[in-house]
Amino acid sequence: MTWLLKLYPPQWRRRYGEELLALIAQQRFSFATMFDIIGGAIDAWTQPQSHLAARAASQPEGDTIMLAKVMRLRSAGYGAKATAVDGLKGAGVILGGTVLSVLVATWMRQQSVDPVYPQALMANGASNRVTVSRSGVPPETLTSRRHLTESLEGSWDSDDFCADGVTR
Amino acid sequence: MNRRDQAIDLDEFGRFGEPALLILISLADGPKHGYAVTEDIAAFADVRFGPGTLYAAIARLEARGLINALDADARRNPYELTPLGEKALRARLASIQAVTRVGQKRLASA
Repeated sequence: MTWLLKLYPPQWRRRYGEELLALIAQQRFSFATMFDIIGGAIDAWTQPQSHLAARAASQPEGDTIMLAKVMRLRSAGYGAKATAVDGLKGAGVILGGTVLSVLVATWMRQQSVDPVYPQALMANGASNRVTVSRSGVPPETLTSRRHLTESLEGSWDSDDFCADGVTR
Repeated sequence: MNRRDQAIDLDEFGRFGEPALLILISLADGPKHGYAVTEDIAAFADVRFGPGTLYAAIARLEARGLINALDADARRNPYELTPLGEKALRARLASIQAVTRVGQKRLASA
C-alpha cells in the first residue's frame, strides 16, 4: 500500500510521509485502509492549510512563523501560494478519485462484495463534498451544536462525567 | 480563550472532530507516536482509525497548536499535548459532559 503515499501532495509527504509509511507497514492490507488513505490524500489536496501551517510552525523563525499564525486564523487571502498547476492537480485528484470511487463501488455491488465496502466508498465521497464546501461541517450542524452547548452551559458538574459520552 | 471558544475550535475539525478528540484523549497521559495512538484509541474507545484519517486529524491538531511533534524516534514522531491542547480537551469534555447529563436526566424522568 506504500504506493498510495504518492497520492499525497509533496509538502504533506515531506512532513508526514515517513510516519505514515511506518504506520502502514504495521497494518495488514485491507480495502478499508486503502480507501481511508485515498480519502486522506484527497483531504490533503483540498485542505492544504491543515498540513502547511504545521510545516511552517516547525521552522525556527522568520516569515514562516507569521504564515503559520495567519493560517491558523485562516484569514481570507493568506492561504498557501498555490499555482494554477497545483489547482489543476487538486481538481484532477478530486474528480478522478470520485469517479474511481463510484466505479469501484458499482463493480463491488455487481460482484456481491460485502456491502460494507461500497457503502464506505460512497460515504467517503459524500464526506469529500462537504470538506470541499469549507471546514467539513455543514453550517446548520455547527449552529445547532453551538446553540446546544450554549443552552446547556453551567448545568454540569465535574463529578458527573460519563465516559460513555466520549465514545460511541 | 474561554471554554466555549475552545469547544468551537474542535467543531471546526468537521468530520475529523471525533478522531481529533480521541487523539487528544490518547495523548493526555503522555506522548505517543501514530501507531501507539491508534492502538490506544482502539483499546479505550473501540474505534480503529485508518492511517489517512489519523494523520489528517494529527495535521489539523498540529496546525492549530493543540499537539506538538517531539524528536523523531526511528521513522516515527511522537506527539505530545500542548497546554492549548489540554485546554481544548477539557473544554470539549465539559461540553460532552453537559449533554450527557441532560440525556441521563431525561432518560431517568421518562
